[in-house]
Amino acid sequence: MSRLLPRSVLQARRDAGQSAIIPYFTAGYPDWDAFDAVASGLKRAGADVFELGVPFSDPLADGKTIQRASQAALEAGVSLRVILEKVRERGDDWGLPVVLMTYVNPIVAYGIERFCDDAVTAGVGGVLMSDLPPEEIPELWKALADREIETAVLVAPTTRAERIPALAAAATGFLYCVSRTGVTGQGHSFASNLHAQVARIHDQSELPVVVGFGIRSPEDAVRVAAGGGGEGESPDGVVLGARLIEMLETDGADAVLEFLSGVRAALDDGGVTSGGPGSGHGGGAGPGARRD
Amino acid sequence: MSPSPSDNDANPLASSSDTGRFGPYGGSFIPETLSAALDELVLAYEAVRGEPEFWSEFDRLLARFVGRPTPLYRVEQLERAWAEPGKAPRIYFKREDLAHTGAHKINNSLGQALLAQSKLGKKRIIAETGAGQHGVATATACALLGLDCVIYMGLEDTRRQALNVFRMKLLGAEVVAVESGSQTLKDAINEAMRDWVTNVDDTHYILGSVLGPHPFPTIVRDFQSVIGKEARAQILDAEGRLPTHLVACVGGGSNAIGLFHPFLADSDVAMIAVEAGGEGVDTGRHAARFAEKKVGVLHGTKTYLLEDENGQIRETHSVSAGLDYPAVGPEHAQLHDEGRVEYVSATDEEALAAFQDCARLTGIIPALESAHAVAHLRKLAACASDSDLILVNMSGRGDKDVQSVARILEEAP
Repeated sequence: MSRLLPRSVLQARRDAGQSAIIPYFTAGYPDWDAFDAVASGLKRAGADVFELGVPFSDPLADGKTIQRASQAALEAGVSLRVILEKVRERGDDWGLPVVLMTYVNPIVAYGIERFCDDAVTAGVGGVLMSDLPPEEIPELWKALADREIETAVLVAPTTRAERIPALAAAATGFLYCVSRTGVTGQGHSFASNLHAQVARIHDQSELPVVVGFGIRSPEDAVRVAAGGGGEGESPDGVVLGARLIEMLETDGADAVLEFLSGVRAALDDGGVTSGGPGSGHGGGAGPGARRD
Repeated sequence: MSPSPSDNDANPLASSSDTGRFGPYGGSFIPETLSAALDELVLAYEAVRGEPEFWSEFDRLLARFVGRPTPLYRVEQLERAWAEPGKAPRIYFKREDLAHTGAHKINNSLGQALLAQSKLGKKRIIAETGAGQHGVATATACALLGLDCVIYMGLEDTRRQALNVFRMKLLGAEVVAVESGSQTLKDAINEAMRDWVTNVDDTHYILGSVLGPHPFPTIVRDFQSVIGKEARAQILDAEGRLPTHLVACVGGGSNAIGLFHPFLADSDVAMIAVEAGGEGVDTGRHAARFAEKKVGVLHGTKTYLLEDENGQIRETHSVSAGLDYPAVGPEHAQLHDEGRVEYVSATDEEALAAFQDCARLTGIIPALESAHAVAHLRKLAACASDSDLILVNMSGRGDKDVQSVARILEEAP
């Protein structure tokens, strides 16, 4: 089966002067039928990369929604092995690069080399490990690089400028800038230094930079994607997770896909020229246009 | 008696632990948001290591507020009761149960609260607690130093340890009952970490054991090493020789490390750490990490832990809330592999028997955690020789457990 890689897909969106959309779903939640229904419609709704959550018993970086989803998925028997089988069976239908978002322990327990082999066979394009900094388990980073499984690396609002090069060097797929201090899914405001942080990351890396955590509406997406004023820069894409899962729980797959289409439209229409807060990015060009 | 840098330099492990690695264990497996706070903590701690004023203030509080040094007490009743006639070893308890707040936990809470106040400039403290002892100790240190305090405690544990919940509230702390997961210590740590990730700018997390990301295992060990330093001087004073055996219970492992660490270079001193055997290590319902030999990553550190075949952390079981935790401090993992410390377990039943026997025979009601060490002492004493000199860490007192033990004994057939 084909294996799509996130970096080139995100770069293509950037080259087109558009902002990418990365939806996150916990694998197999609320059940496989609902999950399959939403996963197979993501591409048509305008998504670019599929961030697939591997449930973990102790998700300490996640808020209530993803905790609840993880626990339910585990109780339903979802495991890394089951997820890799699913990607192998259905990845072509999804039509998007698949990035596994996971805590590191399930990979360690699976076996590093075996995991990387099976991930490639299944068609996994990238991995994001929320509790694995570049300094830890070098053999895992190397095994991923050897198989050309791209890595996504988190940068936080608290990350100091002098640390960004090390994070950028560890990433081969994209950099994921966290919108504020906190766990996933909370609806607080975004860090005041968010777009300045995006600019610092852009300075250190050619890789696409996406922003996530707490993006809950098309308006949020536009506000984040449009970039900050002054020193700030626009990211190359936005990640949505907890809000989508909540909608999938209550309203079903069709509603989620319609919502995502709305985010796509808002980004394409309003993201570039909207006069909302934080829109004063350099020259009034669209997100990503900076590099054209 | 403070854990001053010069004392640590004498230890062969000090250099390796300064990097946060204990052989292949330890490290710093954390969300990126926390990396700046941990870097800052490393720097702050390195700075105070060379600051005599910090340690003299710590020593002053340990002496005047905590009541240190805690006594080393010879338990002749157990020598008579539990050994073969004519083969009785000498048995001593290190009386951490007599420290203010009733357990060794105050040593670390006070040290870190002082660090937060004087070096980190953080006014808000969070902590997790299992049995409630670390929560009470942290609430106490915060009351003393005028810091805001929020304690995360599993809902199940708030029921098991209702008295300690009230005690924390009296001391001015907010107690948050954690309803996620197994509602015990590991979930309280998850929730405390989530708070820290959210409020890292003004908040310090006082982790209660030799767990978590670097530099916590090192900092907590250093603050708890006062136990072993005192005990070493006291036993030399009382007996003119070092103990043949040290015994301590091990949940995360702070009271055990605190006792063991100053003796590590004394190769003739045998060290035994007692894990929670729960309903028996064959039943799967226990917290004996070294019984299953799985290594993984939990709460920021690489160590031995209890997990299923998919790397999901297993729920543990122990009658003692303070030992009911699926991972063990990374330095213990190293000491285990090196064979320097022997890791054994005691079941709920053995600990409950030791709890009652110790109370009746000695006039000391041990914490259920410490009762695991006493349960192993009984086995050790039964096959000891009269030249043996056994030193047990009475890490906490059992007042907090009286109600739950009463309930268990009533329900027993």
